[in-house]
Amino acid sequence: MQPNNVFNVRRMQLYLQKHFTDHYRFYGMGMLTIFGLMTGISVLMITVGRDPFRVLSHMVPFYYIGLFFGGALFTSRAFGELGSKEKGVDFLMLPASQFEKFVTLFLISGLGYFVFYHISCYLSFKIIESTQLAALGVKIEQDYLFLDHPKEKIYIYYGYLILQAAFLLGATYFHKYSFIKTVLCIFAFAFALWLINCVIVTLIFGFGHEFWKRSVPFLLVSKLEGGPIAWHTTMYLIPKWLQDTYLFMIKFVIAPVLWTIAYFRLKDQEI
Amino acid sequence: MINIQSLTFSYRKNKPLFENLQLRLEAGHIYGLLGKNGAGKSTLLKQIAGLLFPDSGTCEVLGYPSAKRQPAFLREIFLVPEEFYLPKVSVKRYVNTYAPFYPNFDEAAFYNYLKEFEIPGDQQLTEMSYGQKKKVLISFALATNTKALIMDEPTNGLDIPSKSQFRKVIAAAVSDDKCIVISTHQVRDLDNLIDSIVIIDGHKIIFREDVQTVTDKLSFKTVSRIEETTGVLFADSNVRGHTIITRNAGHEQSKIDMELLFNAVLTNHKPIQEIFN
Repeated sequence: MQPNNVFNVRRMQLYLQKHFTDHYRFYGMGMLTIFGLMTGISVLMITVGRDPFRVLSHMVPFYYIGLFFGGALFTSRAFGELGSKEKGVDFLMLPASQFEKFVTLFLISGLGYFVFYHISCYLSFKIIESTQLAALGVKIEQDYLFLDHPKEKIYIYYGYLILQAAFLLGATYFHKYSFIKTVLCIFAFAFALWLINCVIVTLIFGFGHEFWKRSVPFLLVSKLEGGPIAWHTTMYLIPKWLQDTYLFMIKFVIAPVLWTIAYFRLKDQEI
Repeated sequence: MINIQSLTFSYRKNKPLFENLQLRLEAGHIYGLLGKNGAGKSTLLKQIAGLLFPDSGTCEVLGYPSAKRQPAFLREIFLVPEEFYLPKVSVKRYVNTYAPFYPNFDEAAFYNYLKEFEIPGDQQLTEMSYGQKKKVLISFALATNTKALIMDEPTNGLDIPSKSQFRKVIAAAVSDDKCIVISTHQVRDLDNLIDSIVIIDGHKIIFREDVQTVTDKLSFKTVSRIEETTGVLFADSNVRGHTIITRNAGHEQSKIDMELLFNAVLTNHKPIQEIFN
């Protein structure tokens, strides 16, 4: 019987099983490292440094840094097999479709990391909270709610998805030192955007009022006015319809486009 | 089974490795793919396996374009690469993980092949030497019962007894619906095993004949005085005298000397090719 050459649930399940057989040590150690670092450093700060966390909002930046940095680092290793000839042959020759292989790695690096990270954060927080209460008698005040202002905070998670997609795409291009190379590419891309924006802004407004210096690429320009003693800037934001277009792209376009490119890049891999 | 048409491929621009290469390999045969270092044996196998894509032309296995690497194609082809990867698990776990991808996998046959190679089936792959791991991979490859089995230098890293075990298990595994392609530069390892010879040189296939035809048309002998023999197509001197290839005019049956034939085809290609045309 002719198998489905794009997607088959059983085959994907087998591929997931195979993937975990190959990588369970790495994932296990990675999980322990993240959990250990989060918990260990905080507990040391409390017990040795006698420096308690008084409010939750002081811990939140670490949560976001871990989510973004850890997620990017983890995703950048998604196609690490392709960096080695032997593992690459094993990866590409296994009878599962490229789509199944891609979806597996996409789920593990994106959703898998996200779910694990939150479980780990929650457990870590509970340990820190009880250690602090036992050692110093100080409770952590819950002054930060992750789910209040959902309309604004959701963009943090859209940002996570875009970053994950960018690093997944990077992993299909760079099989060795993928994280560093992808970071460099993101910087190069941002610099190119800034440069193009500078040229356009200068062509439109000229060198006067330092428009080019005071702009966020393709989002706003600021005009330097006044002087010689007092200066002020006036900001000009892009129109509402363009802002909405940007938001739509952030929500629904950028990450899927990057994932699609990454999928076709995977299909084109040669060893 | 394996059909390569007008295949052109190069790693670097203006330096083609294959130019308009044509090759058709049928089921029921064990092909020996021979060539000098750098001739492109491994590259050709990678083209067949879909690990490299042609610059132009086509490469199909069982009607599937290799480059698409569809599951229907992948479950009917197994590549034993020269350098390979095996996960750090036990043999049993390896089989449980990889075998379900191959619908015709024969577990009993796998353990029989392991037994033939004297590999304990309950050992961890990490505890094995390179040669032992290779034997596990070869056993697994044979047990998958894929229609196309391609092996790149499979005897590299095998000790002398293992090489003869290898020949034995391969010979036992061949069937009418299987096509086995073995690439090697150690031609003596394939003695009495392959039934067709493919020699690759200078960007193309320069020789492709079955062993029976070769022995029908050429005679392989050892003589003490080469001057007394006429019609020598190729000769190689050694301590026992001279091993020579002549046209088999008297329809004698001689044992093919693969190494001699390979050297003859490379150095004296034209007169040999004329005999087969």
